[in-house]
Amino acid sequence: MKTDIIAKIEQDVKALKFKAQKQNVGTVVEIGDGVARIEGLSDVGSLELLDFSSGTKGLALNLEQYSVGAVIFGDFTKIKEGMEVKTTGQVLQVPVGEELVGRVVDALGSPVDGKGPIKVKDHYPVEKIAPGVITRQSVNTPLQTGIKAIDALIPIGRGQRELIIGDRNTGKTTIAVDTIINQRDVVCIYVAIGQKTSKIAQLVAKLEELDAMDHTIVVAASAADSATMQYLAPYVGCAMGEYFMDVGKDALVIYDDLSKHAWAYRQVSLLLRRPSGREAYPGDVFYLHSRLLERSARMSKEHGDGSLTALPIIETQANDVSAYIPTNVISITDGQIYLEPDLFYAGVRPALNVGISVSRVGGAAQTKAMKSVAGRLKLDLAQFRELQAFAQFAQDLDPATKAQIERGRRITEVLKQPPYSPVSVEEQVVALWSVTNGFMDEVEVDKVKEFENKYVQHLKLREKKVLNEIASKKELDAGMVKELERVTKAFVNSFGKGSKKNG
Amino acid sequence: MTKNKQLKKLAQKCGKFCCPDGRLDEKKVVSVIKNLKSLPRSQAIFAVSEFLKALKKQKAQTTLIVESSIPLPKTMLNRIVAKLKADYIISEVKNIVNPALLGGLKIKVGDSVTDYSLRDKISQLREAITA
Repeated sequence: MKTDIIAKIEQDVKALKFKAQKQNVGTVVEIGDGVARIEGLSDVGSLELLDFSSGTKGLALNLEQYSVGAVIFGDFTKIKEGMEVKTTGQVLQVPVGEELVGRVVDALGSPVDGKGPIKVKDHYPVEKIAPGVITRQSVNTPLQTGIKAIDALIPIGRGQRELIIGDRNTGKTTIAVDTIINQRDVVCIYVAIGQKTSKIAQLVAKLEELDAMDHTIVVAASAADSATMQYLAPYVGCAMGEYFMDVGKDALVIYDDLSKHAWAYRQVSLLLRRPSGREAYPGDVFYLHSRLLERSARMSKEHGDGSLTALPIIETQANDVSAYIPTNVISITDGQIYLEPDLFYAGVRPALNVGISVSRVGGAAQTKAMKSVAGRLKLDLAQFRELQAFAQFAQDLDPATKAQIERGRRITEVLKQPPYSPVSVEEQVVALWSVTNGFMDEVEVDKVKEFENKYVQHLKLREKKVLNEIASKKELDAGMVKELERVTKAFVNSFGKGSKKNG
Repeated sequence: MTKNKQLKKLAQKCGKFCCPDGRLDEKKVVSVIKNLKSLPRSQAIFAVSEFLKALKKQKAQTTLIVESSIPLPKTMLNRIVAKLKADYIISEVKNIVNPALLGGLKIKVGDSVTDYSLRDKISQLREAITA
């Protein structure tokens, strides 16, 4: 064994050809807060990786007439004024590949979970131009989140960019985690930006507990990391996702959250003395997010048929969606899931406002079975919202209006879902089908959840064929509807008798 | 603030003007200093200091620094200058003794550094073994 190693080293040494290295160098003239000003480096390129003599790396961001503004990765306390800096001729690259799945890495792709080094075959550049028009195809496959309200009303397709927006503590991360849990054939990348380290640790523990880490990569740039790392993290997560897209797989990347990413970029820009604009953000803050989200795509069959779906998260302040960063990201994405604190505290969880949440392209990706129940559901909910506002002022309502309001209440109950309990498509379809077709109209509102649970359990145990057929055919034909009607009627009768006995 | 920026730019332009082909033109320097002195005193002090900084930078671009582990004879330095003259404008030659190089030379003109030292070869060897 030892002789093998020595022989290998000898071979390497013999094969080595020494060459004089011609390098472009500069000198650090100013250093502080993770940003350095360097004089010299006349041949440096924009976004080129720099090598400081202490072994620390940096990234050239500002190229000026006599100096270069660079951000530093890692510990900048070792860098001193007058230190020599070299260009490397490389752009920043990060490790990508299957080996990263199940691991927690930092913004440079180095492991931080204590499970040892990661040996990868490939590296991808952090900044990359988004795929062009020719290489893409339109979104046509659904990405099931397992959340009834989203899969039915705001469907997400593979390759789509769907924004999750809402105030603090409204369940934004929970939706993202639920989506990760519900995936089996999709590689998920969760990018934590500027979050508390304890919160990231809790999330990783939750994913491990639910066996979701075996298809997930966590890129962590916590609040303790420098602004540079927080600025880089989403691009690193995106590069890791692009690898899976390029090999023809489906990937999902969650940016939690882009508000903090914009703050980190603002900090870096102000330290680099770039001119500031609205709310002190630099002029290119729109491009910062647009170039990131444009990299999500559904590739055509000739280009591998892979996809990269993005779920960016934005945290609003006091429900203000018209602030600078929220409006920017709303305009970039293909729709938004809007979460409201009022709904959250009223017990509607997930606290989705289905009235103003939209998905611009996901409808095309919805299965026929879901489409057939979602159309009616949207109509019933829209009517319910309208009548609910009206009913607050009127005391005597006609029976039709009352029935509509009662139906709406039951639908709202069915759409409620506890966290970390995603539901399969066929179960969603049958539950929504039964409520929109009036089978729950006779059930009391507070018993709707119980009815739904028992109904789904009943189908799973006694009528598995119906569920299997929906899952395989992905549509509800006339025969299946008849069968479902028969089964549901029988269940409603037995549930009615059971609840009377209990009552 | 804006005035200072304008003055800084002007001083930098003057610096370039005084070194047309990389070599310092003394006559031009004297005339520029005279002109800058005619400014109000506070601005003149700032402009002249910026001008001197710009001149230093211009000079550094044409200075050849040869680092070696032992002092080099003049003939050797002249041979190095003769070799590099085709690619660079060289106005001044400096020889710095740096025993840490262990052997060989490290040549620097402006921002460009070429390392022929033994230390660099050893580090290349280390990279080849550890990679």
